[in-house]
Amino acid sequence: MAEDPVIEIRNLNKTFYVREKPVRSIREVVLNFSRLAAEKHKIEALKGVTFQVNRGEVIGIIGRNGSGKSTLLSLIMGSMKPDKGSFLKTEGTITKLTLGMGFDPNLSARHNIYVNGSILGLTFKTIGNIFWDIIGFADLDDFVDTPIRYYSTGMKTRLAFSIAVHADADVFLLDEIVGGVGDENFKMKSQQIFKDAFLSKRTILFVSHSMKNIKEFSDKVLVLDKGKQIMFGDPHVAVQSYLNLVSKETSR
Amino acid sequence: MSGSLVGRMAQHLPENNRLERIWKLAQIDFMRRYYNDRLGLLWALINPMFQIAVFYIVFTRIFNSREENFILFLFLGILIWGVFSESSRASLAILRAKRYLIENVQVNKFDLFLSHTLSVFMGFAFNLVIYLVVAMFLDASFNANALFIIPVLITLFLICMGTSMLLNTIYIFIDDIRHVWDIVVFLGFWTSGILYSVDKIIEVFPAFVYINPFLGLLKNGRNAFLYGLPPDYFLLVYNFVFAVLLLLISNYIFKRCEHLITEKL
Repeated sequence: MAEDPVIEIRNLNKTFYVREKPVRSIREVVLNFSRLAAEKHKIEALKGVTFQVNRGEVIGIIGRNGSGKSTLLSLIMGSMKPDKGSFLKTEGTITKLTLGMGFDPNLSARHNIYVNGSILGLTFKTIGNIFWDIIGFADLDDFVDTPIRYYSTGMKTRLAFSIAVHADADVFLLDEIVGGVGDENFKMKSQQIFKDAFLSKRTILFVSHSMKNIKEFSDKVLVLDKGKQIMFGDPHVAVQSYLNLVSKETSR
Repeated sequence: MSGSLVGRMAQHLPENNRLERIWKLAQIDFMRRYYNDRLGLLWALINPMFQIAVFYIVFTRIFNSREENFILFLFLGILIWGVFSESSRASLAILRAKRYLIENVQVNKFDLFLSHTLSVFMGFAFNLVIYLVVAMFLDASFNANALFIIPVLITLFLICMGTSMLLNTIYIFIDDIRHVWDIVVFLGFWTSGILYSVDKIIEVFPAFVYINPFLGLLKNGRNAFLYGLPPDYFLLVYNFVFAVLLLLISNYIFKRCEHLITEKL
């Protein structure tokens, strides 16, 4: 595949400074002013991660819980800022799909589709034209004006997936939603769409614990462990390296 | 969907859906605020009406206020202060309410504040129409000076927006800013010339007019929409510059801290 980088990451670091007891009031700030800096606990969520994503590539991200996968997606999304010295460059519209997220629970699917679709770059006219396609794909014809808070997790994810697929963002960050949500019918549909997305040159980074999906869909795989990059490259080698990590940890 | 005039106008903007999105978010906020209840939009009116009734009785019967057309004097003062008070207080919930967007899509947070302020001004516009209807029956003076309400409202909008951004920046770090803000709103209510003449306050504390822009806003608002008088041009310009600077500074500070929002939410 020709090199056309949409995401460039070099020496990406993210450190959180957290307090065991968060200071959130004026009284606590005043009373503990001298001790505040000292009480901070340092957590290095990502250390020296380096990789590049080219347009149209599908990148799998694997790692155990707490390895930094979600932090990495948030940094790419731009909702968090990396530490100084990191290099992170992205191009185009990026959207993140997580289980049941991205919606105002008090609004209906109709309103959420307009808000989300608009943020992903569509005009209301276009959204109006594809509105029923989005609803139809998500199998939600009978719940268009029902507030999202009454939806099941599967229904919410189907809707999020359907909006994103129709909205055509430049880069998709999928957090555990490929082929794992909804009934069998929707799973088949989402897997098919995933393949089509690949064929239509969408750029996708997806986090998954399903090694089958990782091997089947990824061009390259990033393996993370405790914030460090274990490897980035061939899916089969990456999956093996991840399984070795897990078995080493289990045998301890 | 976007049957409104603004929505239709926005659709004609090529390759730019930002305005219609801001408008949509404002509409949604407005509907959520007033239409989750049977009384709906009436709530936007009931609160100021109740305040006007109480203050009118207290200030005419007990304190013998001699302000000309005191009901309209109070009505306009309470409306202008009310939009600021409501907009700033409600803004403290914006980031948490819009967390679903902030964490999952690349949304411009400036647009969230803009749509929030617009939604508050929708309720305000409704009340202003009621004010105009009442004012016609109560012999308010309307002439070409009424047009000066436009710069007053623009200034008010910018102040509401700037304040919302500033409060939210503080709110990222300190939760109980809302209690401090309640005190500020309370102090502002009694020192902005809502219940008595702005000139009386300026007479006693001349420098206060530079700190509290609502003295100028209320004075010029009443000149335009109640007395039919020309505005105090110095205050009109001063307040506008004040509002623009407030918004620019608030936006700058907010931008410097916004990356912390996801970590703090």
